[in-house]
Amino acid sequence: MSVTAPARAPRADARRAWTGRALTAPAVLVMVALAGLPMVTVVVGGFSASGWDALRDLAGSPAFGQMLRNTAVWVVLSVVGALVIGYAAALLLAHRSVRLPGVWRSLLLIPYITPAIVSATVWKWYLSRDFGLLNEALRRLGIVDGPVDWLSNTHVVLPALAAIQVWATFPFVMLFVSAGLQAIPAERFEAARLFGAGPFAILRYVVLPALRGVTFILVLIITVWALNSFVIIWVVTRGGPAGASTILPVTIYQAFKSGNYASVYAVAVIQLAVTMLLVGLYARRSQVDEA
Amino acid sequence: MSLRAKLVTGVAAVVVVIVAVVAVALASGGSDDDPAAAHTVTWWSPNWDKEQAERLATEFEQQNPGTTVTIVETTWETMADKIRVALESGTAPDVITELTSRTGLYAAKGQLLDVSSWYTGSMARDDFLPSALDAVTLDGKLYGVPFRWDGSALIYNKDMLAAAGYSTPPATWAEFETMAKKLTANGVSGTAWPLGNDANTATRWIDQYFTYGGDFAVDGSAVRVDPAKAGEALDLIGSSIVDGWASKSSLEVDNTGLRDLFINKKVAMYVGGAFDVTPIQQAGINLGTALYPGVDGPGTVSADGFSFLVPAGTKNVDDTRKFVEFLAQPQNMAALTQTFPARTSAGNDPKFTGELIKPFFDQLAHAKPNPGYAGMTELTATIYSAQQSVGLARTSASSAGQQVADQAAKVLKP
Repeated sequence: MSVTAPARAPRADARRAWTGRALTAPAVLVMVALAGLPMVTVVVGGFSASGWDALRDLAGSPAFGQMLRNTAVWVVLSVVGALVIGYAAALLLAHRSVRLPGVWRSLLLIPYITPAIVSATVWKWYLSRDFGLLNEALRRLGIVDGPVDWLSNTHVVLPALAAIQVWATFPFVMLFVSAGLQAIPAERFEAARLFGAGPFAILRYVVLPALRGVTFILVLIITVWALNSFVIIWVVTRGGPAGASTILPVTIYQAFKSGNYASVYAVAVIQLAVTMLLVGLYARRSQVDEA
Repeated sequence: MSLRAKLVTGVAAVVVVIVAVVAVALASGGSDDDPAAAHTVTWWSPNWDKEQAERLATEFEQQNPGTTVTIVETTWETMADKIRVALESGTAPDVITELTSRTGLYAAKGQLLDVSSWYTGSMARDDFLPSALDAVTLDGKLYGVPFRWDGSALIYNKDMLAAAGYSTPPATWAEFETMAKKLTANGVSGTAWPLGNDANTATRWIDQYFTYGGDFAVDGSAVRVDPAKAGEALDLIGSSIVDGWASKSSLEVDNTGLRDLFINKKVAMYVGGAFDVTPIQQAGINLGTALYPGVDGPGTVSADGFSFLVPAGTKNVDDTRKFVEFLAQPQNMAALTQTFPARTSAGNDPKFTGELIKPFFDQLAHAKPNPGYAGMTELTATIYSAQQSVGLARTSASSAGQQVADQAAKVLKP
């Protein structure tokens, strides 16, 4: 029996702790420099006198309410669309009648790996009133008589742009859901079938509950993507027509372009608050999962 | 290895990495004592000038052994942000090709070198167009060397006009409207506007605002816009879309998209730049050009162009000055100019003559410099939204004009 052992253990623990701190210090410093400092700058700028003035000006303008509504509609359409189509694609590819699912999956990933600037430019031409392939296809199919103003009708433009965002993000959902589906034990499907469950009952009572965690994470990730999405809208409409597709990041960029940093901080604080709320939910969920 | 040794090794490795990163950063940044860096001129030049810029840089290097010119390409979409950030962070190059109307914004912040004393000898001041020099002047000092200067004019499809019974283009806005209405048929629109792009929209609005007697009036520390004239200009463009004689695609396209509409015979006439002429000719369209139609004769357009700007912190002033003087020589200016040069003597170059180009040149006699006041970018966003709202009949032109005037009073600074 040694009497010194209990005294050494705390010293060893302390050494280990210092080693850990030393090894993580570079990463922490980089994080502080790249993420922490800009965030602090935004918060300090947003809560400064000029930041408050800018926020007051912004909140008083009729465009502010429209911009918030647009952001909400954009996020909901983008997230719901990507989830529905991503789930549908994953379920379809998991069906036993589908040949070469890997090939199809790879093909369906193309929108996700295409740079946003390229997607946006191509879609701008697809949706063009006079030259657009979409209008031409609809006309040839006899669905429409005249061209649809996809990008110049204030009621149509936001759903049209959200469709581009859905097109770009649904493969990510499909990939996650495909992985989740493979983790569900085959016995559960067999048991459900033995009890006479049809496809929709299996989806409702077997698949969706098993993928609840995956779905939660997906919703958070693609919501944050939608909230930060800028390239698609800026390239295709620049927030128009008449502000009908202006969302938070577009407003921030417009303020940045003008050199109006007080407005940049004011809008960025709003965006930061919304994003932090989502991050909080994510962290809480992660802790629950770990527990 | 003991824990202490591991810790020391780890910390040492981190220190080595940090030192290496700092060393690389310092090395890439150059040194004031480095003789090579002392004779290097870095020039930010747009990608559409690439070929000529490279040729001129090589020629300059041959004429000035020991001096190197490094070209960094910029693009139209990113140049404004990139230049502003570089000037504000003190990381700007020696020479920048930038839109002339933005010169005042940088000069007002003390970010540009006063180059008034450079206008001598081979760069005689009286050889430059006065309106172009006005656009780079602040408080009597010159903060740039303009080399390209242009304004808009009317471009029309001769065959379409002939088919509608017109042998000459419209000379006034009333004629323009009448002809455009007649030309609007069978999927063709009389005209269209580039209202899908904020900057292009603002330019067209300013043209109309100037044409109908509007101006930017400096009032102490503010700049005023006439709300009634602003509304009238918004209405003239907006109502053309609402009434159907301007294409609804106007709300989607920028200048390039508008040219494509014309090339594809979807539009019979439009207001464009001299740089549009060659692509339209190459597409085989029988085009004509004319002065911008105004109230009872030529309208007044906003003129703008590109200038060489030298940041205030430039250390290599002697070589930079020599290089800018070289670029500003008439033949070099002509080579870098896609529309018109900012020097009278450079205008003798054959590329600036010709029947189709002449109206654009003549239009410069009916032009005012594009307003370059601080806050113009913020006003551009308001004009963009207001013009689209009027074009969609969502807002009355008078209230939209008031909105533009209010925003101008708030954000524009002389």
